[in-house]
Amino acid sequence: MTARPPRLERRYQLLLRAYPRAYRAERGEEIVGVLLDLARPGQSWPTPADVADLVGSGLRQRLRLPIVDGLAAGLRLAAPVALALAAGLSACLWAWLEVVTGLHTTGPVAYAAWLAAAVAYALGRAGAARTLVVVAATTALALPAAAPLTDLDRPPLWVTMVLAAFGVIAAAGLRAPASADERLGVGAGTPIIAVCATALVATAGLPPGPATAYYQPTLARVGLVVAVAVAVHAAIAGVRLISGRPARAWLWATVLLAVPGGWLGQFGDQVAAGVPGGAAVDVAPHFGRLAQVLLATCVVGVVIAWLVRAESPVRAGRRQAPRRATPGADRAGGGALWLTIGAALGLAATIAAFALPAYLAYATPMPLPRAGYVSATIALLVATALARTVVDARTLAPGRWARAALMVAAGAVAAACVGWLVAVYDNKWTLTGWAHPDLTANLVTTLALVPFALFALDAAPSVLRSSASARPVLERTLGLWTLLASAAWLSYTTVPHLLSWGPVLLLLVAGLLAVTLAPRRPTVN
Amino acid sequence: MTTPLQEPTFLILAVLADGPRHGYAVIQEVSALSGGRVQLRPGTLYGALDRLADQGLITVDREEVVDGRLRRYYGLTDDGADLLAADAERLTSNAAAAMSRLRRRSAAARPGQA
Repeated sequence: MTARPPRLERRYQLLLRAYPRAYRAERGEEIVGVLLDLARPGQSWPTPADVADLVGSGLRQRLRLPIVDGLAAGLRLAAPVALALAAGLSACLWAWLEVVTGLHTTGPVAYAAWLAAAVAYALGRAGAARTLVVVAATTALALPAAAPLTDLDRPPLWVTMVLAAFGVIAAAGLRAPASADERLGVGAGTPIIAVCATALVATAGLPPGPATAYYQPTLARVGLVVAVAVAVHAAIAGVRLISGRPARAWLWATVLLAVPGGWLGQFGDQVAAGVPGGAAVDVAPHFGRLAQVLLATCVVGVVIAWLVRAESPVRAGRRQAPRRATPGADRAGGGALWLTIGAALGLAATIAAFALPAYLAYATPMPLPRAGYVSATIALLVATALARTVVDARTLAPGRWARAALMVAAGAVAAACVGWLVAVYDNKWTLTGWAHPDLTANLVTTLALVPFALFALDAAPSVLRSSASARPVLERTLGLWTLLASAAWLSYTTVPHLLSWGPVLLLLVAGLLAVTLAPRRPTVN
Repeated sequence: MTTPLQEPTFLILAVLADGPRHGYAVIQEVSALSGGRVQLRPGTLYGALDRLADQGLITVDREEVVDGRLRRYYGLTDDGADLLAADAERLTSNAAAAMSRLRRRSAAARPGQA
């Protein structure tokens, strides 16, 4: 407590950068004060314990683990449902596709683990059930890698992804001891879900080629069962909202189940062609499974962002420090936007890399509608990214250029990697002999859904807010352009295919519309 | 809240029970109260204070500027006092039960010591 060198204070302030900026503004001075009070006389470096403490606490604050209220309760509600859904769907896939239809994949290994988990849970062994869930989800993820070692096929990626996501929910939320209701719910729910899913899949009749049975119509029909579970949770949340009771946990449960649920689609026109992706390949834009997964994930992301930001009035009233009054300003603001700009540019380059040979050198020229769609996407990506850059550069503090440039580069590299991965997937996981560069370019183009959705979400509030007229004309014009361009691309790519959307995706969009158009915005407790 | 309090949380609430304290004082008194066993670090302390404030168990009592530096004093709310009392009672009765059984154990012949 004697004379301390200001060097130590500067070093503590540097460490405090582990915290989000808004938190630092509110608490930084106080924390540094305590650190300096605790420091030994003459100390000039933070101790390793200080470093671990500040970096750990700062990261926790950044991840906002302590403040997402209702998430833990929502997980507990959703976990037994996720278990019953995953086990029920496993039984359906095993019984109908593997046994009756005669497909042979490595899937039953994961299916068996899921069913064992459900049985253990129903018998009151919640701890064992949780372990089995972890085994089942890990197995599901390992199946594609393990399949080449056997002479069996792998189950499709949608099975892997959905089972793994249900596994994360169940593993995180299952609690021992399970209540009698929960045990009964899983014990009775699993066979009911299995029977309903099998009935839905079986009544569709066998698709032309047995190999497609794992895709359409199974994919979207199985999604109907998950949609019912999501709808029930949404309805309970809605009733609680209207009657003024706490609804947060139910909203979270709805959203959590909707993550894997949303991936279950699309209702395709692919059946007609007899091969996966067959009929749709000449369509541009191509609303396939990738588009379904991306669109549903974006929509779920919007709901989650809304839930995280809509603070419950009770807690907000109690809170003394106003530090979270601008939620996400630090996290989702500057950095994320520069990442998105980079991603848009990187994706445009990746699409172009596949489209150019298809324009120029491919044996059969790219059909005009597809060439137009792909080229327009590249142009729009670059144009919106430049418009955002102009707007954001005006508000950028002088010292932050390097960081912004780094974010753009990181976004570009990440987008290029993802684009490349999708292309390799489209090329049947091989790196040579690109069979259909134009189709590959078309599929990679689907990824533009993510940057355009982020651009639209970012631009919408600043354009639509009444205070928008106070902004400079250039900023307003470019903001409006970003919103219109993104919305136009998103609409053109997704809306004509509305009838193909998976059931949970439709449900989510309907729910969002209902909340947005409701005469009175409900407060979330 | 039905789950028992974590020890650091319990000690922080206990320190604040007889009057508001600022962060540095909380760290020192928690250390003293626990006989030096619990040494809170500032990041951990403020994480806990945020959480307790969110739960309505503590509140900012006042702010002072000492040596040009902001100091916030935190105080227990009525909810916080009730919770602390309930948990202290639970610990007392657990401790009493354990002590009475230990007395019975020393009174009875211990197995294997015939």
